[in-house]
Amino acid sequence: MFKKRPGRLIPFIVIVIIYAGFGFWVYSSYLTSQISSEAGAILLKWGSRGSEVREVQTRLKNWGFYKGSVDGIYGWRTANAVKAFQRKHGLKADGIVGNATGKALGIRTGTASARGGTSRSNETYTLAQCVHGEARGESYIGQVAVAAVILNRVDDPRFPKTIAGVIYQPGAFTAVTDGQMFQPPGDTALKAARDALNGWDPSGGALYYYNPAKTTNKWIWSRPIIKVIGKHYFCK
Amino acid sequence: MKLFKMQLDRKQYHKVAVVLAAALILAGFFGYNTYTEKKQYQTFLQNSYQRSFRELVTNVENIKLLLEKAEVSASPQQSSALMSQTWMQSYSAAENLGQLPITHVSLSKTEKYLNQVGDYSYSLSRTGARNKNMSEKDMNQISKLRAYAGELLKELHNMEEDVARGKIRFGEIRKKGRLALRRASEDAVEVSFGNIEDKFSEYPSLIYDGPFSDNVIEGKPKGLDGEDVSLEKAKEKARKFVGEDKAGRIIEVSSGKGKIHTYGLEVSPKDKEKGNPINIDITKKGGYVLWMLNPRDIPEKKLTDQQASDKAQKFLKEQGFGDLTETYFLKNDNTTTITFIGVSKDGVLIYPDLLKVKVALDNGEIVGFDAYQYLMSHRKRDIPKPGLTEEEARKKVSPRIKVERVKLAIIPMPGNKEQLCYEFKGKYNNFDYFVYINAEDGSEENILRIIKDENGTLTQ
Repeated sequence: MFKKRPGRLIPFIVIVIIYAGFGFWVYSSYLTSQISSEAGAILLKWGSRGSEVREVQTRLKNWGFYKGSVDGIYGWRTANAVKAFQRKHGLKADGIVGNATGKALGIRTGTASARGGTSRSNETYTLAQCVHGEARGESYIGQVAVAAVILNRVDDPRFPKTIAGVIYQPGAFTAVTDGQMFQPPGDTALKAARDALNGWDPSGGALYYYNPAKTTNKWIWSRPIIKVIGKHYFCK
Repeated sequence: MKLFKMQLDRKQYHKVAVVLAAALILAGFFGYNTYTEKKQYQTFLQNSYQRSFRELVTNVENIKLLLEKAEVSASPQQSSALMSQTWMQSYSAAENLGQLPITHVSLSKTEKYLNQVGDYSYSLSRTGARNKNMSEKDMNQISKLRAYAGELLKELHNMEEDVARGKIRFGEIRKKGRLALRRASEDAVEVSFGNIEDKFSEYPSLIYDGPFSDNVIEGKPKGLDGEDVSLEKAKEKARKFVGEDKAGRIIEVSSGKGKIHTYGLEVSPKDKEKGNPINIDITKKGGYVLWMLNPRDIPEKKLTDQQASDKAQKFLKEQGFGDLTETYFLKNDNTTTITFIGVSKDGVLIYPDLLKVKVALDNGEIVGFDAYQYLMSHRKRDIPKPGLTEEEARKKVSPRIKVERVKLAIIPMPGNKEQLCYEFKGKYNNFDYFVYINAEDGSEENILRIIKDENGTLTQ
């Protein structure tokens, strides 16, 4: 049948190319937006995950905007529900939960918790952001331990000598590499960061940690494990 | 294929073709746009990596030159100046190295070298500032470090050539990392740095008066004595620490194998309604409490600072810690963290023996405890008699400071050392200062400024 009418194959190919091209464009502009989004300015958006997303979904579901499951993943269903909510409340319908939308939803916006009052509030906040991105699913002790690892690195000659230097060292933390860190930290992460800065170290002086279910890095497996907390192995 | 079974006549077919062609052009435009944008980001990254790399090379060149000069310098003032410049250059070099997109594994030794050179030269610059010449041992260490700087520089120059010829591009690592989020290990940059690391394989351990000295990093606890305790004994200890009335089931969650070996215990509260499990680490040797954290929510603040301090002191007494005195405190999340230090029978403050107690401000419960530094340094000390009288030491304090109080204190010094000093507390320009004068030779060892606000006192 194709031999008789070869012309009919062309639109099919063209459609495939267009879809593929469009897909790539969406994907790459999504990546770009992830890079350029400023810390603290946006609370939650497409691709976000975690307990705050779950909170948004629960509220939207209760009010009938959201039909999907409460899974803590900000997908297109959530984005559409947020847009519907924004339209109803006279907000800019961009599908992003920023400060205004967060307020309308009755969710505590992350920037509010940034006030610290102590001279170390800047360090605390950066540290808490990294802890939140890396270990928000972990227990409280697990989060203090991750913060302590960052501080242990600052005190070790094999690593950069400031908190920001350690956190932003290329490739050092997954949450920094993939931009998950650029979310306002929750109260738990802030509390954990403060405890670590005050001296608590549940990791036992560890310099590295990894999740054995997710890590393929051979080198890290060879390090002596000094403590196990939740899903993380801590080592020297 | 169902789509194509619909018969289209020629006219309709043309229309569809035009629409699709337009869409294709549009998609092409978007694609091109995205491509140039990506290119721009890449160039930007390349440039900042290049900058870090070039600066690193310059820094190492300077380090080598400065160390060479230090080897032939005979005046303490000149060596002191050279050493502080080396300190600055190595600090900057380490900073630049930390910004390169290379995995930690292939540059940790280089980073360690740079940080130690910086730390060591800082400590030497202090020696020089005291009008003392460098010792023979220091001179030998400097020569060794200079030789390593030469090796490092040779490799860096090789790399520089490869970078200039385009054989190495720093951006490539990011490109690979982006899609798979996996670090490329066989990359050209990694290999080059791997060569450098090999050169450092016989790098000696450096011992000097600084925080990165190898004896500090590998320091052993001095405050642990007694026999090893069993898990049962440790659980008993934890139960007593948390309180018989509050502690429910205790399980071991993880043993710690850091500098201090521990049983990592989790204590469930007796009253399950009453919140989270409490984590507590008990040392295997001697059965001391290393740290404790109770992460419960503290909804309100009822206690005054004085009440909180009383609670903490009562707790420490109950736990058998004698001879401690309160220094600083810090409030956040409706808790107060109070720092205690040791104090001798004659009232000499012992700053290295440091303990922290966290008090909940709703009911005065102890929700945190940290004895790491205490266990690392506490021991029975023979405190020497000061060589200087208080009057002699007071003359060494800046006349600008209005002295309010003097005490004798043992303070921690770089390199795990301790020094008996006179501690002068005084005011200048409405700020509180602590000035420490060496009680043996009268040199000014340290100055601390105190920050006080409603959330606590801290030193800077």
